[in-house]
Amino acid sequence: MELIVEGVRQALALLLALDRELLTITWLSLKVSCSATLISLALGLPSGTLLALSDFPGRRLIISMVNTGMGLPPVVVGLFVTIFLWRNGPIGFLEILYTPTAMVLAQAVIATPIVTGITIASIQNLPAKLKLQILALGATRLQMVWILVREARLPLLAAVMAGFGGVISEVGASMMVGGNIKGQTRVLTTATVMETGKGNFDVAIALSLVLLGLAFGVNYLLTVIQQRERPR
Amino acid sequence: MTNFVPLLEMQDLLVRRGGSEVLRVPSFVLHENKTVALIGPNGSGKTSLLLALARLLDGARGLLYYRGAPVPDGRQVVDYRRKLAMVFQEPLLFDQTVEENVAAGLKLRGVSSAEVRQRVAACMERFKIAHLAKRSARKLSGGEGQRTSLARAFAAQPEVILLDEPFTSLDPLARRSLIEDFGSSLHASGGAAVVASHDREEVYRLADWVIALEAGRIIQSGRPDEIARQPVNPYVAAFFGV
Repeated sequence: MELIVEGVRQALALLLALDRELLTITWLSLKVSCSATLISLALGLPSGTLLALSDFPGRRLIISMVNTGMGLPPVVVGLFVTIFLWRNGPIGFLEILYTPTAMVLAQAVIATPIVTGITIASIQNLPAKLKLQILALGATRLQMVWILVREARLPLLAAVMAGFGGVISEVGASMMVGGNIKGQTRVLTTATVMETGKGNFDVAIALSLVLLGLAFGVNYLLTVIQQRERPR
Repeated sequence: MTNFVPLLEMQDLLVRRGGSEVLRVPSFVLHENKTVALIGPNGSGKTSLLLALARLLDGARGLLYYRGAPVPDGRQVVDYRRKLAMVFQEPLLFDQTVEENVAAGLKLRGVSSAEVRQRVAACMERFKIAHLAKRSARKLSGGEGQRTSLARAFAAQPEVILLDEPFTSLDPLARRSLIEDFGSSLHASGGAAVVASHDREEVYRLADWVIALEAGRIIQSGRPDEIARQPVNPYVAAFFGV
């Protein structure tokens, strides 16, 4: 218990002193996870909408794969992204392994099925006849899709939260494709693992507090937007 | 019914689902300024017929004519649908204000803002929801929601309005009042309508012609008083209270 109290005390001291390394790590975490979330939204929203609204052979199989992907273990993603980016891997020529770009890529792979799966559920959860009503109002297919997405905006915000939550907290993939290089690819989760391993609990607790604060801050912002929109 | 070119005509409509035939209508005709009521028990094909008329039913086969011209497929079907409006049993309003809901069809058609404002105001006035203009559609009662849905349909000034039991879920008082408002709005607009109904009072108030359906087949059609005099089966007899 004493260890925790002392750790929290020292962590607060580090935070209040605005430690330069801590700020660098925090900024990189935010940058990598926000970029990955944006990519996952760009891919997951349209593909989730398409899967929810269309009907073609193999659709159920794809949805099952997406749902399975929602629980992808980050270390598995890390392993395969590493293999792909390895010097003689399929996209090794990009030479981005052990860079923040590789971390964004791996995190996007983790978040995209989450965003896609929640998008499918959100769109399918709308009243079945709403699509017919929109078309009957004279909408083109594109207008119909836009209105459906607009109607599902509250649950879709949950997709953003889940996507961001999934990547800001993962450690396995970032460690494997980023390498936890000081000043280059060290993020809050990988740094926490490293400091815990070294027995520097005060630093590890400080990093975890920042991580928690970051996750809470972003989700609080999205929750405020979501609840403001909520029908009362 | 008159002998002019029908406003809407469907020939040889066939709807199959899961390998079996669920609706077969050799001929359906709707003339201008007329209202046709579709009656029949649940599952008799009323909703399918309405959806087929709006070209919204997947797997429906048949020839559809609008003012004597075949209704095209593909993207051009949107132009046809913009001549119609459809109101369902549930209001199916968007998560917006009443005013925005009423304007929805007009905005999809790219109508100018000034005209949207003017038409929306007129329709809200006609359906007695002007005082609810800024209210969220989620906060409306069933009757207010259905009034909004009807105002949204009329705002687009459709030539044909298709109604799928729109008054069914309302209490008797709200239903009577809304049927009256709908009837007078339809009369004032000069449009035609097809209304699926389970209510005798509604049919007598609105319909010029009645089509009785059973198990996907037309079993009787005629003027309401004719059908009431000679119902072909117990359902139709019970519907007209004879």
